[in-house]
Amino acid sequence: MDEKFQDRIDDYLLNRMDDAEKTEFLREVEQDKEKKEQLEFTQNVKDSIRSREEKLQALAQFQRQYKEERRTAAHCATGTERAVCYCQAPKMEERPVRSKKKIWLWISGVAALLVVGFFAIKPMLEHESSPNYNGSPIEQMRGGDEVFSPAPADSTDNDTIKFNMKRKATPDE
Amino acid sequence: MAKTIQFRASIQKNEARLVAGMADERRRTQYELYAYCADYFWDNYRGVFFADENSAAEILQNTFIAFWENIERRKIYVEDGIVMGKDNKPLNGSILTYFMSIARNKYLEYGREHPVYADPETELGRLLRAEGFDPNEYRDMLYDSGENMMLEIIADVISHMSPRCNQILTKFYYEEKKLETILKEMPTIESYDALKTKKNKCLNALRKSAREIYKRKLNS
Repeated sequence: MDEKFQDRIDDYLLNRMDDAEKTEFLREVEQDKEKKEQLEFTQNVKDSIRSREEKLQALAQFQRQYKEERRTAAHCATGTERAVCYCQAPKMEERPVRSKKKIWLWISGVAALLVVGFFAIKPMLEHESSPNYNGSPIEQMRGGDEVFSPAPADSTDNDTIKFNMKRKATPDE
Repeated sequence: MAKTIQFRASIQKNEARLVAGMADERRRTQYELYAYCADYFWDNYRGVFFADENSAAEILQNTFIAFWENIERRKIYVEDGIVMGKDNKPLNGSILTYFMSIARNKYLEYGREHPVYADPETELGRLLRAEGFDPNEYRDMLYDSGENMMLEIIADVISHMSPRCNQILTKFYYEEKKLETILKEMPTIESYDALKTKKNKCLNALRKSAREIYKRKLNS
């Protein structure tokens, strides 16, 4: 290989020649079969390298995308913990399901409290309105407020024993 | 039976779409074709040849590039919705079969380039020997006769260049960097003259290999 001529071929292919140099170079190539073959070969090498490099760059992108997609697919199929972070779709679907569950849990909880509260309060209300009501259970236990009120002064008008006896004697009762 | 024919027709239609998309440089379709071939490759390569995953990944990459270049050079192309192959005849079988036949050739080449693989004491070495692998025969299988033959040969020889040559020639011819710049990026090379000599040696080696293959092909 003529190395000096190779330098000129490189300058021509890499656009490092002015127009006059290019014309002179091409004229020289046309007259020499070997030089022409050398130029064609270098041109083919340049084209092949460019084509391969462009494809390698595209392939690097394809390979990344391919790996990503297959990881996602593997997770969706196996549900393995390792791949959880690669699969967003199921998480997106789970969110509304979770919030709906929570809402229903709250509603049923509140309903249950209301029902229990109603049944707890209802007998108390009924008891207070009945004629046999003697005060709340606590009041009954401690004996009511009369215990602490001052004792009535004893007199003929206000004789409690007599009054009670009189009441007992009433025939209607 | 009718269902099978219908299923096969839909596969052919899809493959024709992918090949046409590849030729039209539609990036999305190019990726679709890559995924289509890669899925099949990973599912089936163990039945076609013996290689570990890293070697298989390298073979897949070189196979896809060769496949892509074949589409670009219209070695396979689409006409009236049908994938056409050699001698302007419809491709025999699926493009996946075609793809795997390239993969097998690339694998044989890989075995020749990696002595560990071609070691007669290894499983692959035994397989290669049993197959009577001849690299010259392999090369003849790859190239079609035609005006693009030399370009095809060069492209293939480039894919098997040493990493150092690949680096120098890529920086020089693809990135269009001057030798002074390349020298700064490759501190292991002592001088400008040493770099220039290396570049020319790489070119010479390429030329010699390509010429040999070309001559043999013409003689055959």
